[in-house]
Formats: sequence, structure tokens, C-alpha cells
Amino acid sequence: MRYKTIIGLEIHVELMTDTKIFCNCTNEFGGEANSHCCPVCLGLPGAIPRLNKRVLEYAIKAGTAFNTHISNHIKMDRKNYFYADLTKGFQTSQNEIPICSEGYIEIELEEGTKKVHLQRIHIEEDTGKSIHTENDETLLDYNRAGVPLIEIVSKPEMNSAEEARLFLENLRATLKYIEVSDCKMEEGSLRCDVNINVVDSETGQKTRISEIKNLNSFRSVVKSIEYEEERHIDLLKKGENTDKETRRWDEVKAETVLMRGKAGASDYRFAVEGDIPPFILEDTFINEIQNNMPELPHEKKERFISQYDLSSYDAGVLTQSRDLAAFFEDTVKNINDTKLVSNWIMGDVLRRLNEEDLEIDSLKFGAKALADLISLVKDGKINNNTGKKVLRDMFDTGKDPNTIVKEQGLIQISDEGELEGMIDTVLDENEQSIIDFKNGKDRAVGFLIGQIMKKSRGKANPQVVNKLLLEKLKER
Amino acid sequence: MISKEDVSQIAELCKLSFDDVENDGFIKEFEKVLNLVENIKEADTSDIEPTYQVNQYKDPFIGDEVEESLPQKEVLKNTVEEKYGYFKILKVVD
Ligand SMILES: [Zn+2]
Repeated sequence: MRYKTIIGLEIHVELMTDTKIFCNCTNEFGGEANSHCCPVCLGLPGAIPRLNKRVLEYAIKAGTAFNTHISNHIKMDRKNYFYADLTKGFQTSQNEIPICSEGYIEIELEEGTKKVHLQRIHIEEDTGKSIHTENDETLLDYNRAGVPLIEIVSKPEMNSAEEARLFLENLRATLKYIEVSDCKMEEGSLRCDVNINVVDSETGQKTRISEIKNLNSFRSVVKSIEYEEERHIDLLKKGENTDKETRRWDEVKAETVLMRGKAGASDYRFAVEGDIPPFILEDTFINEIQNNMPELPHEKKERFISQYDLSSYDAGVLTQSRDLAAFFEDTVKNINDTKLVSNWIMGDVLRRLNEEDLEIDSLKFGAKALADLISLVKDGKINNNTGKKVLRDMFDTGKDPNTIVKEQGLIQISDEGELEGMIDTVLDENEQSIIDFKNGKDRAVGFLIGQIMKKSRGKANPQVVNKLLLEKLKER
Repeated sequence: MISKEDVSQIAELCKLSFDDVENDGFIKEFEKVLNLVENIKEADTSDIEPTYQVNQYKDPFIGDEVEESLPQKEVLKNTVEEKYGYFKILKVVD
């Protein structure tokens, strides 16, 4: 490949603490404008910020999950810039000493596992929200000002949109597993900036870095990378270059748009945050967090493979979210057949959830109900197709599978006498199929089974029907 | 020495603009400040750790417990213009 794309990501993640980072205002999303504010997060003169210790805890948890070095020396800095969503004229952040440094996230590629290294993770405060109206006004809501963030900065080690997507998926799954963020991109609790440029491996020429700001879906990350990749390669082909510039993704036009070029580059004039004294964090605090880490996605996957004898693929799908993995384990507790349970969950359950773009926690029925349904099928009380139909009803109504089966009279007919009667009737009605069968047309059998199933309103036991039908055909 | 360009660049970062007379005034004022810093720089600090803070809190933290925020009315009390509970300013787009 002549052109090599180089991608680095910066991800801002809002932490699920109860309060903001430097005051006791609630960290709840939304709310009436400017109703979650106090002198500290409004930056009123004389107000003194104090750090919420849980923010450190969550940052250390994330740093540990991503294999970083944790600094016990905590120091905050002021990042100065003028913008109306900052009440103080600076953002309190960490510049010189990030709480976490180095580390890596692993992604699974066809050619094997790739480690994408992290530069740093630091803590900082979120800014307020501005709304620009048609009437040349900007409206400001400071409910979000002071919401705790971690900023995760990767090294520029990804080489395609696909790698960036896998990196983000792993990152999001892990942060949700360790319960430091809900990572809801639609609510802005996970936001991504992309740094991208392209190198021509033949000439050694490379384009300057473009930064694409504030992407709020994985889809727009992928699309904007693909767009920029092509733009940079075209420039190299023409022997041209781009300025180091900031761009944004225009969803409607499906292109990136210049926000500001080099001339508008900021100079943040970092300074020490004098209101929050630097301090040394006790080792016991860090050790306590590190010794009590919840199971991480890749650890759970390994355990699923060995404990439930699942394939690597199946274990990967079932552990993609903590809730889904818990649902699987709860179901298995009620019916000890991991293969059947994984088939049902990965098949009909996930298909329906994906179709409706829902998460497992929005199901109207629980793991026990799914286990009951699988038992009904396994014990031959209903056949597989009826099982699927009952599951659809459970999705819609949340009713118990036994109730559905009883109410609709779906119990499978396995009684040979009853089935023989149906088979005789169908054969009498379909003389031609019998002739076809005698002439070696196997398709006739399928057709006849279909007719018998129809006659039984889907309740006949297909194995028994199959056996009896072949016997009867030979007799005729 | 501070140049006219230095002053303009700092002004731009502060989203301010000045005419030539004002600019020249700033050059003189900045130089005074810089000279003071030059004086301080003469002190030998090679063996001294930086001091960021002289008041050491024993416990610099707050607990993660929600307390009541200010009423919206109180938050907006000092603003010149508000709309629907928001602070209203002239449109600024980054
Ligand atoms: Zn506050």
C-alpha cells in the first residue's frame, strides 16, 4: 500500500459521579437551563473549587483497565482561552502531570491482535452548552459546566477507519463494564476528536494533520476518517498539502468542513491552578481501587470460553456488554444447556433487539422466562418454530411463555394416533405428490410435511411426522 | 524587547483590538512588567523546589454528595439579558 493513513484519537468521557468535579451540584444530564449551578461552577469571584475524590477513583479505574501508569502526584492546571461556554476564562484541567500515562487498548484484527498505545488520560471539567439561534443570539446553559470528564489521548497508531472503530468499541465497552460512564454518545457523554494525516511511502511526503472535532457517533467517526483519508491522498497525488487545521463533520453534506486554519491556532498559556493545591495521593487509595477491579470484557470472554465451552466468536458476542453477559449467565442458571441458550440469545433475541435498535435491558421478559421457553422446546412440549413464535409474543407482551402456550393451545402434538389421522387425510388429498415421491422426487416429502404442519396449525412434532410419513408413503 | 507584533498577537488571543496609539502604550507597560521579571530571574533558584501553594489543606476533597444548587433566578440575577432561563449574548461561533 503506497499511502499510509495515520490516526490518533482524543476521547472526552463524562464520568457518572453524583456531583460535578469541583462542587456539590448534581451531575444529572439535562434539567431546566441553569438550574444545576452554584458560585463554584459559575466561576463567581471568590468561589473556591475542591476536588471530588470519586473523580480520581473513576480516572484510576479507567487507567487501570487500560493498563496505564497511575501518578500519585495530583496537580491541576488552568487552560486559558476565551469562549462564552467557559465561565472563568479558563478550564481547570491537567497539563503537566496527567493522572494516567502510557497504557494501551487491544483490538482484534484479521491478522491478529494489535496494541494501540495511549499517551495519557487526564481529568478536567466540562464546559457549558451554547445554543446558537436564528436571531443572531447565543444562549448559554451552565448545567454542564463542571461536569467531570476524563480525556483519553491515543498515540497516532491506527491506520484505518475500521481500526479506529474497533478501538472506540473496546474503549466504550470497557468504560461501561467498569461503570465509570454510561458512554451515551447521543447525550454527549462520549465525544471523539480525530487527528489524521497520510504518508506517501514511496516519496516520504506527508500531509499536515487535520483535526476533526466533536464527533458524536461511531458512524460519523468512520465516515469522516474515510472522507479525510481520500482528501489527503488526493492532495499528495497532486503534490499539494493541507494546512494544520481544525475541521468538523457535516452530516448532511457527508463531508468535513474547515472550522479554523493555522492562523486561529490557540495558545492556551497553561498555568498552575492555584485554588487546588497539588497533593500526593495515598498508595492505599490507589491499591484499593486496583485490587477491586470488576471483570473486564476480555477477561469475561476468556472465562465464558472455558466455563461454558463457547467458541471465541460466541463468547465475544455475548460479552460485548455487561448486561448481555449477565442475561446469558442468568439464563444458564435456569437451564443448564449453554449451547442452546447461546443459540437462542445470539439468534432470535439479538436479531430482534438489533432490528429495533434496543439494548438487552429494554426486554419485557427476564432470563427466567427465556429459560422456561427454551425448556419447553428442549422437552418437546412445543416445536422449534412454535418456540420462535412464542418468543415474538414475549417480546411484544412480556407474557410468560407457559401462559402463552396455554392460552393459544400450542402444545406440540406427538401422539402417533392423532398424527396418523392427519397424515392419511393429507395423503388422500395429494395423490400427485405420492406419484412424485414414487418417481424419486424428494421434494414431494417436503411439500407433504408442510401440508401436515399446516393441518396441525404448526403444532405437530416434525420428527414424528417425518418418521410416520415415510412409513405411510412406502405402504401406499 | 517586546514588539508591536507581540502586542497584537496577545490582543488577538484576548479577542481585543487596539489602535496604534494604544498599542504603543502597551509596549511600554509590558516592558515595565518584563523588566521586573528580569530582576526576579537574577535570583539563584537552582536548588529550590517550585512552590505552587502555601496553604496546605489536610483534606482537599469534597465527597460525591449532591447539595442544592442555586435557584435559577439567583443564577441569572446579574446578567444583562436572559431568555428562557438561558444567559443571552450576541451570537459567537467558535
Ligand atoms: Zn456548582
